[in-house]
Amino acid sequence: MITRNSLIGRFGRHYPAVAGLALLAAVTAMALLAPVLFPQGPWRMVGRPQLWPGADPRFPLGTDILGRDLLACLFYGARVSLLIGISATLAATLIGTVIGAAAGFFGGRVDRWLMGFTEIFQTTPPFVLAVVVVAAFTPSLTSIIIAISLVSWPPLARLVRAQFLQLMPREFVLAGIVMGMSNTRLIVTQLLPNAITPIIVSSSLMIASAILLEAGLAFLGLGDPNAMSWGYMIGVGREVLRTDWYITTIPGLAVLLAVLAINLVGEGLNDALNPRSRNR
Amino acid sequence: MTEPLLTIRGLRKTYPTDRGVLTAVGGVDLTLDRGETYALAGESGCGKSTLGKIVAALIAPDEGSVRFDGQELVGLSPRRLRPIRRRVQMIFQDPFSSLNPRATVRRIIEEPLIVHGMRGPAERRRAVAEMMDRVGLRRDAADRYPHEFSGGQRQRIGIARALILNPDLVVCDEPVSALDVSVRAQILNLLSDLQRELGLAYLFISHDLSVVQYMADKIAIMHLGELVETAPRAAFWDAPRHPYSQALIRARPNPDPRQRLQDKPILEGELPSPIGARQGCDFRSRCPLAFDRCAVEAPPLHPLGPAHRAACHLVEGAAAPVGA
Repeated sequence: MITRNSLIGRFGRHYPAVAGLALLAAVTAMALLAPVLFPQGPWRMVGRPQLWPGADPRFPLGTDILGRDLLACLFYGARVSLLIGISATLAATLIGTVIGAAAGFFGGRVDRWLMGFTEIFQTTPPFVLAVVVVAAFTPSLTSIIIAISLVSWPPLARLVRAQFLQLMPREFVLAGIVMGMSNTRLIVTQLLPNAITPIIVSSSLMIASAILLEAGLAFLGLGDPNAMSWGYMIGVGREVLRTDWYITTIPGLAVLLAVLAINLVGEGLNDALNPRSRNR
Repeated sequence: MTEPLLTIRGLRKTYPTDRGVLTAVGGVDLTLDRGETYALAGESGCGKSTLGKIVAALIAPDEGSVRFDGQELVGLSPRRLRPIRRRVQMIFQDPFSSLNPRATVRRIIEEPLIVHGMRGPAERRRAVAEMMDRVGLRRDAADRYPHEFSGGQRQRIGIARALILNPDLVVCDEPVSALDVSVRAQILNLLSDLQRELGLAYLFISHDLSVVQYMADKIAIMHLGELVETAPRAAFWDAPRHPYSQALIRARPNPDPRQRLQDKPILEGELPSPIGARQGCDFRSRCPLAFDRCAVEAPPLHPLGPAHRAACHLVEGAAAPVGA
């Protein structure tokens, strides 16, 4: 039911978030429609290289230095960005939640060990660590997803731990213990449902940073060589940046808009889910 | 005579702090019979909540024994404790923090049955509905969430959750302190009615002596982690023996406005710190009757009559002769 105060109602009154959602829907549509609109794939050299946008009506966004259709590349790039953004975020959310929940719930020595482990990751710059991980394996979609999730979970673990620490002394948790709940049941039925809001919000924002990380890796040539991605496109155009700047600018704008869209949606979710910021 | 429902012996609980060891509960003995209400009263910070949480096995004591229906609870593994948890439940102080905000009322009341794998879904539903009738909640409240209810209603939900397992002992930790005065009486009446119908024993923790007077069969006054007087209801209100009990009774607000101007001796002097070792009687700094001996020797609980004990040098040897 969509009422003024329902989740959807509150989200809908947040106009930037609705705009972000529309943009995100457009990116998703691009990802889904890519094989339909461009069945020949993004890699085919279909025209003269370095055609400016509008120069040839067959290629509305022009072609890159090898004569590949930039529009097709952009559509296929959306697939890779979304796939990596979402899978890496899911994996990172899972790791972060499990580690944060265990640290917050058990406390003491378990907490010290897990947080020490988390700090090892936090003190290393995420992008450098991602480069090392991908370089250690062969660059592929799987290794990129692993690398990005491996560097993205620590803030989430800290967040979940903080939520748990705040919830643990609450009386409904004590009531759960008194009624004889097992630790697993306490965590799953009492603690996690009450910590889920910030997890959802920060995970949605994490998708954006995962897309940026992937673009950065692909730009450095550490992308999956078989997957056309926005970062790869930017990397390819780098050599002709002074003369044909549109080759880097178009995928760059795509990254910008996608990340912006996800951030707006994340903020809208935060405002809609967080009771303290309601009725602003 | 059968064994008492709950026997507490030599219970101690201390917490390390930066400034030294804080003694929250310092050697408490208490015996509670089936179906009776034992009130634990004292100022805030005297350790009465800690004692309640130890009885509900939420906190492990440093020393001492808690026997429930003949079985020792201290040191029991979580698995061995589970069947006992069914029989010892707790009602909490803050009805706004004691209910899971993400669960419906039905789920909250049903949860203990699910945890203990008792009865099928249809039977659980019926049990929840009956319990809701019993605590005075409308049945159509079952699918709503805690935030839709007032403090008094929420406390009824908490009571239903504690009683659905049909426990023998319920630890009530300041169950009406967070409620509006207008609903306190309703909740207290509900608790007494349920006690009569279900044969419950209450360990009733409260700082409010008027609530204690209304509810308790026996009273224990706690001061800085130790019991200073335990007494059956009549003996306590007619003839309190410990100066601290007397001061607490005098300090109760008087509903009669004409009596208000009358000067009441109010406790003066400083409460000793619960941190570190102490010597002598803890109450002597505030006691109007303190004398030399109180500074050097801590008074033990002297027996005064049936279930009546007081920890004061002044009552030593005052026990009523046996058989009198």
